[in-house]
Amino acid sequence: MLKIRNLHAAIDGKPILKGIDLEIAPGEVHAVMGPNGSGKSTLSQVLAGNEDYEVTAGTVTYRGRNLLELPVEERAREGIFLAFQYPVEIPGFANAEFLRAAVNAHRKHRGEPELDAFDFSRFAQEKIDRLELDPKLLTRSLNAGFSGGEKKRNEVLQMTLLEPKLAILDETDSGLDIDALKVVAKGVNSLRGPETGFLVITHYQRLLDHIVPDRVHVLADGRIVKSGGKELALELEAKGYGWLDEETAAAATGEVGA
Amino acid sequence: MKTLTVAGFDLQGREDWKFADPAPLVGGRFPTCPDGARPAGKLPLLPGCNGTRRLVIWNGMVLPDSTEDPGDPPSGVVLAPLAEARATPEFGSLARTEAGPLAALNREHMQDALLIELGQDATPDHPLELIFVTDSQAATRLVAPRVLIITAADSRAVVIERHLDLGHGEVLNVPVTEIFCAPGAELTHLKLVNGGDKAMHYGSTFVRQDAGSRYTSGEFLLGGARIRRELHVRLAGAEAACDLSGLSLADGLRHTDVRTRVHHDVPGCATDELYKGIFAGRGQGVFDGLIRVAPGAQQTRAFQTNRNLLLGDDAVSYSIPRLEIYADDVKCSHGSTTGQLGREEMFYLRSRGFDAALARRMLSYAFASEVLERVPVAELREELTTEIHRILDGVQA
Repeated sequence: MLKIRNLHAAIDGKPILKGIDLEIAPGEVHAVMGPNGSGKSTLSQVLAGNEDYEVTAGTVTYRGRNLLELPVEERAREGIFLAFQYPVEIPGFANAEFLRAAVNAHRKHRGEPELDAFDFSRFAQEKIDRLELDPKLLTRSLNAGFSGGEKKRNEVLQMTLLEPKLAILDETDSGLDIDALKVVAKGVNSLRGPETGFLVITHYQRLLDHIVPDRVHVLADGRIVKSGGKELALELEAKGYGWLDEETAAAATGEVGA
Repeated sequence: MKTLTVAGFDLQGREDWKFADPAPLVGGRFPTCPDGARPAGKLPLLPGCNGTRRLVIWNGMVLPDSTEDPGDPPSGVVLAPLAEARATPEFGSLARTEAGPLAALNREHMQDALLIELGQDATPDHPLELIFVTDSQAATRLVAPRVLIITAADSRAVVIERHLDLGHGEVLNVPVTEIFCAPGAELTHLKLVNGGDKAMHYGSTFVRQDAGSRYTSGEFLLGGARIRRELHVRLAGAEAACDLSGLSLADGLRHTDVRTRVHHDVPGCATDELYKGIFAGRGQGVFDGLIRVAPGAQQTRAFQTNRNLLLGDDAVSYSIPRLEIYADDVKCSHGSTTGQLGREEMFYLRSRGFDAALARRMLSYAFASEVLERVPVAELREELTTEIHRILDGVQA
């Protein structure tokens, strides 16, 4: 469903992604790990369509379409969901109203009738119950004054309400206690199915205990330097990222030689 | 040389008219609307909240029996016409000719007045609603209504003033409201200025507060070519408090101008000001706030905040927040920000499927909502919410 070929991207003229190749088939969960500054968040922002990043080379095909041509909102309505590492706070925008507007933007796109406040509330309540979230989340302003854990729970709630085809989780697990981590895992696992793909960006192996990935990729200096099965995450946990330096150097040399 | 004289005041070079547009006031361009400009036949359906006691001021004249079901005024409330208003010592004692060109202009052209008196401990269940209407008979004319509100000790009421224009012509409105808050009285004073595209509103409110009184003002400047609002508050008795807030919305070529002047004359009083503005197109807004703390007015708490949102590169906002403090044991602050919608916020909403226009509208509304939350009348708050969404929906960034 997602094919990334030789993707290069820069911000303010500074290259961050330096040739990413990645392919996700429907139903697969891919984990991307790597040290700080390796380009993990940039990859997620570029896929979601953040116009602050400039794609300088490469292609991204999503369900047969050129993803890079689609504006942000179009990507969202076509089923791409990014769970933000740092969701923004918007005081004065009621969370329930925000969630309903988001759900309705998707429904409209699919040609389905929009939900009124009453129907939406029933729909949302069911998801809230399933994720065992605090219903008060709905009555507050969007992320305003939310703790880190509450923001991440709200991202997961949005994900389950919008039922994406490709969900990208950008370090959704960082800074979370074990209870919040389980909410994230529950959210992801409830959406797993033959049609849904996941790109889970994480620093830590522990989330992958709860969301078992099909593939694990190691990102370093804007490139994927190693890919493997779920055991690769364990190896990274044990060995750290120090050993990557050699592999990164090798990858860079390889590119020069190519 | 072009003169800028209004009701005997030369506005040339006056600091408090620096970013204002005095043009409509100058040179008697607009003659006073004649007394006989009453509505022909039955009153049209006018907006209003349920259950409120409503009075209509038509082309500057207070209409007797102007509600569908006039009934008796709520207990403890006296509504009286011009002659009785004039007979009170309070009448005109705040909006003196020296108080400035707007007060002077209103005095010069005043057509009619309404006196609202709240008796001791009076607490009417519902707001009083004053609906100021101009129709086509007021086009190219000036209307100058006056309201005087006198509260007795420990009374409590909500007064809503609505200004609307059914004529859609050039009309110049120079209303004045004078308010006296007796010891312990609480008055909530809400104002909605929503005139037509050519309507001009240059209005002022004068407030004097005695000990322990509370005055709450919320002004929503949503429609009209030119709007200037002046709010003069004198905290004259200990422990008096005022909460002043407002929202200005101007797009196209519209201009809004908000001036607040709060005088802390005695110790222990409090002021909390929150004014916001949203400007789009070539719309312009001014906020000029001054809180003056007199010598000896210790333990004053005074806060003033002005925030402006510019939608588009041609919109302009001038912000002049000021504190003048002549006492040393006070807690005061002021702040002002002007900015555009955040890129991160826009990206976040669009990444949830919002198109850019909807994201802009929702973020703009969210910006405004802090002021709306201060409106204590739920029905009016909802009406304002709907109206603000409607206006924002039509705004081009």
